[in-house]
Amino acid sequence: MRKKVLCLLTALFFGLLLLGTLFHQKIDCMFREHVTVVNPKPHQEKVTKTWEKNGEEHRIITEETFLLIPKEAVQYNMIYVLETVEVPYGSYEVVRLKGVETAGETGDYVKVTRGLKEKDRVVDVFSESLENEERVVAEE
Amino acid sequence: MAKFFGKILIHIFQLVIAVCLLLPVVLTVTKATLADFFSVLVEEFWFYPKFWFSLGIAAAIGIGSVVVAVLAAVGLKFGRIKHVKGILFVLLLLMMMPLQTTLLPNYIGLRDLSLLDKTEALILPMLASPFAIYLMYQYMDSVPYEGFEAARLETGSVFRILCSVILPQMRACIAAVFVFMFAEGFNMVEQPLYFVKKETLKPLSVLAESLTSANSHLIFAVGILCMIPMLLLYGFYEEELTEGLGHLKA
Repeated sequence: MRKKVLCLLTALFFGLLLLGTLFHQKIDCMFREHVTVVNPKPHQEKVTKTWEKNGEEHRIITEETFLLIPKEAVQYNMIYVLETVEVPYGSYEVVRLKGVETAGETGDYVKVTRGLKEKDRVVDVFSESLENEERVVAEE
Repeated sequence: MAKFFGKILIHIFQLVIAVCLLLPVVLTVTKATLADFFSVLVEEFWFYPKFWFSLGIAAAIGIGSVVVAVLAAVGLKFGRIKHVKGILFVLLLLMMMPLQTTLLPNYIGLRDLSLLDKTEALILPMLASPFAIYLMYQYMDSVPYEGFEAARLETGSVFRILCSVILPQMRACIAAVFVFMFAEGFNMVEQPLYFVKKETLKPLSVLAESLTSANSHLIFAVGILCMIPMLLLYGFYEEELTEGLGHLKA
């Protein structure tokens, strides 16, 4: 009887560990917040700048490059950027709060002048429920 | 009256020893929370690879040391070697030596064989255990020599005699040696710290070294999960352990 109970407990313990080995990441994803990420789009625009010197108005037209991100991604000039953290045996993704400088809107997008790179992955909707350095599951 | 007080003192002393032995286990069990278990079993990436790796290393050490101990004991018992008692005395001396005295020679040997920072560095030094060989020899001493001689009349193959005649009588001792060496392999600390540097080659027993202050609380949950295989192994082989260790005498 004792050996039977021990066999059962052993099978249960190692069976659960085996299931955990195969499915723990999928189970972890079920408890994480899912976010959609977008890549900033480069956008070039001709900008006219004027200034006055000695009573005369001078104009210059320059071509400036902005990065466009959805309007909903920005709040109080802050955005969430997705980063991959490499650890032994795997990797996971976290969101980090980042400050940006904007230069107005164009349609549904915001023009970002500073604080963002083209290869950054931005969370498309700024959510109050997200926290800085929180582990998330990204959907692209 | 003196006998009564003597008994009370002995009981108090036994209670103190029992508390000292049980306190770490009780502390581990009470400090582990469900959130820690969830963290270890679902969130963290390192637990499952390290657990199976530790189990594999311990099983390899257990099986390997049984094979080495059986062959060494058979050689000492039936091999008509001179000065067997001298060899046994050396084994006893080696048994009493702490692990730290053999760490440096093992390190130099592994370095010269280019086995440092590999899995073999954790397994090979543990295969020839003086305790295992001594225990196996002591148990084999109870196996009558006449049985071996009778089997020699049937076949000249020592390997066949070993498998058909000797090993069936040694089951209890083999189980005892396996359990001891498995436990030693599962719980080893110094060898992974000195012989391997890669994080992926370090077993669970040295987990505390890699945990940061942010997640050091996970060690209690890991401790409980590591205790379970040992308890199950002990439960399976309790009788064999008692029988095997009963033959250990100088």
